Amino acid sequence: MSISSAEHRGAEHGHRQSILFGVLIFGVLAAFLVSLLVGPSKVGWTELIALLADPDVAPAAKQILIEIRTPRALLGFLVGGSLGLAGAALQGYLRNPLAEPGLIGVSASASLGAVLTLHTGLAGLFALALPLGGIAGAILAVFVMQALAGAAGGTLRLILAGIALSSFASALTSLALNLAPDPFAAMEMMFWMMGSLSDRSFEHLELAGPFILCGWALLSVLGRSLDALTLGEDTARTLGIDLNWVRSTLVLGVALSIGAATAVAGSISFVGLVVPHLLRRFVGSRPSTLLYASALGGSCLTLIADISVRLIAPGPELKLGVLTAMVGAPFFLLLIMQTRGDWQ
Amino acid sequence: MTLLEVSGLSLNFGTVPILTNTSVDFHSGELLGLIGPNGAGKTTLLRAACGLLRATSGSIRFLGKKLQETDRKELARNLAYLPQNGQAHWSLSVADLVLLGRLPHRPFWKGPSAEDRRIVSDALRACDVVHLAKRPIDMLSGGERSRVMLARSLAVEPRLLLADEPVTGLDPLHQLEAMEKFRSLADSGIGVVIVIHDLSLAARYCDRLALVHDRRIVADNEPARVLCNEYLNACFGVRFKIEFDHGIPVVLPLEKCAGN
Repeated sequence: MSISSAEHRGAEHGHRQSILFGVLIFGVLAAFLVSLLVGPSKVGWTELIALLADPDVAPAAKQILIEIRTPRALLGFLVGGSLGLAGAALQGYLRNPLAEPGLIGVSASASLGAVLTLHTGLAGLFALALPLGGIAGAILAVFVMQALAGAAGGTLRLILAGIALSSFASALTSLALNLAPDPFAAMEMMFWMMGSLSDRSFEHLELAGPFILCGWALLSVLGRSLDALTLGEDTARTLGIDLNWVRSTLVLGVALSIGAATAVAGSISFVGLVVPHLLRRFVGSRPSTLLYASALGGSCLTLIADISVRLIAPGPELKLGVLTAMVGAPFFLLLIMQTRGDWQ
Repeated sequence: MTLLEVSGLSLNFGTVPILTNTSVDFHSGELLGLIGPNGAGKTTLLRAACGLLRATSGSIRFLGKKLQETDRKELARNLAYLPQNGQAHWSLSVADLVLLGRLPHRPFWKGPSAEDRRIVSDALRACDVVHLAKRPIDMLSGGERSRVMLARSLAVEPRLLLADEPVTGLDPLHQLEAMEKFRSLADSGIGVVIVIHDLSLAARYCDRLALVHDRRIVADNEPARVLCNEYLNACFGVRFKIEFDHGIPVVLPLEKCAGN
């Protein structure tokens, strides 16, 4: 092959990538819009158009569209984006396609913090106690992770510290459930842990949004370091990459975005694992490209899942985390089979 | 001109000494072969020279400046390291992988420039892998991958190239081509240091050989002076047949020495 034909094929590849990014952006926008239009009350297209034309018309529709569905859709976008971005960043850093956002123990710690507010009854005192508890848990996890595996240590230490922290936080969460003051409180904790975006307000968005966006900013500068790490740690270092900085930024970025996302939405599994996997076959394996594609893919998938829970069971709403796990696990299995070539 | 200067370097892994009081200079325009038995400390010396390992004592200077005081980016632009059995963890295309060599030359917010792409094309051509440019790296044979990794390190356009066993696993044709490549790089003014086990190839192409044995450099001289049974028997525990082809030693291992 001549260089010019190689360049031509490179341009073709770049073209394909642009198309995929276009599809992802369109998917996120479309899912966001549909998320505004679907719900138990019959408020849809006509009400949305009427509201856009004249904001003072139909206060009930306005309340549903703006106060209830908009924060839910925005949180879906932010939470899903965090899961996709953090999943891709961790997979890139650890060079392991099985890494997922829960790996460094932040989601388990955020869950613990939130469950403790339910256990102690703090959650009943004011609306934001629950997500604040989650964020407190996540912040504590950041300090523990930075101390154990931030500046010093390597990938193995990061994984082991994450497993230790995750297990400990899960054990304490089980203890809180075990010692629940009454069955109702235990049920509330269980339901919260299943993960959901229903009944979230702008207050939740204001609380989690800044943390999530800071996390995104940190993770999105890691692209070229993750690219360099494709060649292994030694070569990455000789290419001028400071691995200690990469590890600290990664831990902080994942902790901020995933901690805040878990604090407001509970644990939503499989999105952070499946999305990078799914997109790798379309955008290629370069970690930097995958990072941004996974953020969009995560948002899109979470919004679609959140729309689905509203459509599947209009009565007692199916929990978002339950749906993502139920669809995600078999789907993930299918991907693994395809990668091995056993299943065509 | 001396590019990198290792003086009195000692290095331990935990309590195990790997290098003891080792000194060697790497010069521009010179092809230096590091030879020696397995486990002698050749790779450790190379990794220490790149700043990947911390010395227990002694110093390493790059362009007269202590390695730990040299700016990381500046070092990355001037020094390229080609590890043994270099691997890629993701299935990148060959062109994307070679482009990674340009990372130290641009700020993190900038994509590759036309100049970067031209240099990558040159590196691909120099290593005879242009036809593989769009292939995923994991679809290549071991020899092809070695050539791609060499292209990646050439894309850095370094002043000093440190390559750990770059011709191991290549067929004779590509071994010769790789050695000719190193020779021409050195002739163009770059300092090239390679770890090599094929002593005849080393003798034919290198300007100088440094024989590493028992955690230190025991001989550092022109090939014909290093490749003699006096040194080789003691270091490798093997008796060699050494003949001369147009004045260049051709070295053939014959048998284990008594006591080995």
